[in-house]
Amino acid sequence: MFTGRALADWFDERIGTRAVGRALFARKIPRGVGWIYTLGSISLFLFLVQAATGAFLAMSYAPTPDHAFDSVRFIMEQAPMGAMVRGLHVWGASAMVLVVSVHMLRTYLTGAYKYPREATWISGVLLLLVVLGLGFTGYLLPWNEKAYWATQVGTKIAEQAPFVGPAIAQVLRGGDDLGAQTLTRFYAFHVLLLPAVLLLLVGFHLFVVVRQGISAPPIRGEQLPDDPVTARRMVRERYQDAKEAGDPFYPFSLAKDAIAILVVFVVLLLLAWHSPPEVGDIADPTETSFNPRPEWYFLFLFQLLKYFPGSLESVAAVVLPSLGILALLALPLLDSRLRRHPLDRPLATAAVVLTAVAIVWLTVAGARSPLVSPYVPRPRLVDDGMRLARELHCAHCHSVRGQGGLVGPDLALSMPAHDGAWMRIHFRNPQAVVPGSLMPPLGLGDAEIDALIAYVDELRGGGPYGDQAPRMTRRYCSECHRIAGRGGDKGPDLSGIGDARSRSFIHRYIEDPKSLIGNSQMPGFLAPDGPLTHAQIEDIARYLAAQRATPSQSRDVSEPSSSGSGSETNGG
Amino acid sequence: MSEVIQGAGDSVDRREWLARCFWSIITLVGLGLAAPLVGYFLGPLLRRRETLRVRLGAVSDFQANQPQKVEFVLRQRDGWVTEEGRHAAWVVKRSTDDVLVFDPRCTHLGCAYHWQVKENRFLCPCHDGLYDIDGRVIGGPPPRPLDVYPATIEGGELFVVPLAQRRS
Repeated sequence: MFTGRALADWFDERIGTRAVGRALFARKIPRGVGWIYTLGSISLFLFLVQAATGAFLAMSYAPTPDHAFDSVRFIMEQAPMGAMVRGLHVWGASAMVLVVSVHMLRTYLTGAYKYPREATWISGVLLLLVVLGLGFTGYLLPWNEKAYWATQVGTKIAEQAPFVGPAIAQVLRGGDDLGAQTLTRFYAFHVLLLPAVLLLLVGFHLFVVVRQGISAPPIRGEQLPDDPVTARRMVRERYQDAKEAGDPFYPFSLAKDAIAILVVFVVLLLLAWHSPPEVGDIADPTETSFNPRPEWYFLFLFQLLKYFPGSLESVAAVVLPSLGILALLALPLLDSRLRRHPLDRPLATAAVVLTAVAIVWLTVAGARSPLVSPYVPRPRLVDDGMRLARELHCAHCHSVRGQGGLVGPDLALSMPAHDGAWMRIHFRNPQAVVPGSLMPPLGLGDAEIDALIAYVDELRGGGPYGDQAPRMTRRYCSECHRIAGRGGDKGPDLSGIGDARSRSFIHRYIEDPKSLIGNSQMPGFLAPDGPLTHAQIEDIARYLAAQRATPSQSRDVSEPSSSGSGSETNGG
Repeated sequence: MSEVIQGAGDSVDRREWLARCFWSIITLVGLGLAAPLVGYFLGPLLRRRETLRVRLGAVSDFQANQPQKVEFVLRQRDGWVTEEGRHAAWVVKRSTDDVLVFDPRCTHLGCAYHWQVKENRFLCPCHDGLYDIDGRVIGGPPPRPLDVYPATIEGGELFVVPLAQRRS
């Protein structure tokens, strides 16, 4: 091993690697430092996971509103291992918040923030804030509904800060409203500024950790002289003794850290594998039925706001969190006594236990609070088709239920007899099935054609329904609902229901009404609790979605779809 | 775990055992993290290219033995973006059922060449590469004949898959 040794000598002479290595790894750790002390190393490991996965995710991410969502979807659905990489990143973020918080709790309970480790504590609090900042800026990036609305709420909260609030929100968003500039700002914060700050803080934090040593476990009823100078000297001397009696950091503490890291990593892998993070629906500022919810680690704030009505809201939104942060930062200065055991400081311990219980309780209550909007995600393909139709400017020539151009037929009403196969040929070459059609060939790919077909199907009621659908609808629905003049009046008239609700909404509503509208009086119809199978409900849902109040729609309740209105001659 | 450690004899053995434990776990975790990242990074190598067929026009629209540049628009997926890009190809009709479609880039360094009617040859202006009407090199630095797009004729219509193929 001559060459290896020579190389090591070469570096040592120039950089002093051996001395640095000794200072970092041969330093002794006091006895009794248990598994709970691995949380710091786990946090560092999670930071490395976030940095590595984040750097690779950035290769396939576009921080603009028109591409962000699609690029995240590309990562999840097309890039090899993309779902795994993003899964690690998203779950890693949650793990980071959790581990860092518990790490801080341990530091607090063991009084490790006290002399001489005040600087370690303060840098740790700043690190927690940066981690939360990374979480907040990170979940806007997929530009989905959750991202959009959670950020909307987040920046509105900043707006409530006294005096400077509106200015802060304006700067955060890069404008009056969430948009392209918000996304690039958040992106720059998330991948450049905050990681750089985090790196500096981690460097400082580790430096003071090594410099002051890992705190020894606190001793119950520790006797210390009243004179602070003597007391501090005694603390230092006792620590030196505890340290001398301990084992070196490498490999004794590091092996423990490695085992804990392995456990955390395996959990992350399993989570990323079994529950890949969702892509969601693309952000839609006009959507009114989405239920905005923040990430779980901001849920307690979300829930807290509910208890502070009206003018007091800014107290919960801004004042309390700010006071909390200030208290954490100033903690080592406010509490300068040297006794560290949690039972020797009952007040401090009780305060933090109460706070922790309150935060956990608020988080659970926030997670359990019912979703008030009946939100059904649109089927992915329908969504794709809708966006493509917008991109291709279909509305210049076609209307959807009366809105749009008049050159071509109305997409929601025409072509009722045309199935997927017909539309497939039609979209590829309109003149092939409609001679003389004015519609240009669009040169679309197969996936795009599938999406357009799904969209048109959804527009005209979610696809063809069976002959039994009208009869089943009469049998099961007309006791309470009126359709085209016939039926009961316990529930709303369903004659034009297709104009208001999509097939997917109607389907889910028939299956389980209360999941969408909490105070619904209607029973669920899905077997075994109800009389209908999934397929029958789908049939009825398609039939109901085809019920339109639009005048040109003349479809009779008793007629199956195949004999619907005859406007297909100008289809295309 | 701690029982095993304590039972492992004197502290040198324990130290050795823990060091090995540390390095094997760190290696394992490192590899576990690197594997998905490497797979993700090398993804472009694994991805299949989309083959899109494009209609260039009716065969009867092309004049025999007169190379003609055809421009066409291709809707192509590039990662998460679908873009309509303008493309070109040179069509050489030898007979009604024998049509050659050339990739419009010189095989030397990829410059755009053109047809010189008087000289009856393709000229690449970058380094004076010359090809005959069948795409064979007749002068200059090009290392091989012009690349072709696989072409098919269906019902008198000319279709190509615009992916350059070397000619054997």
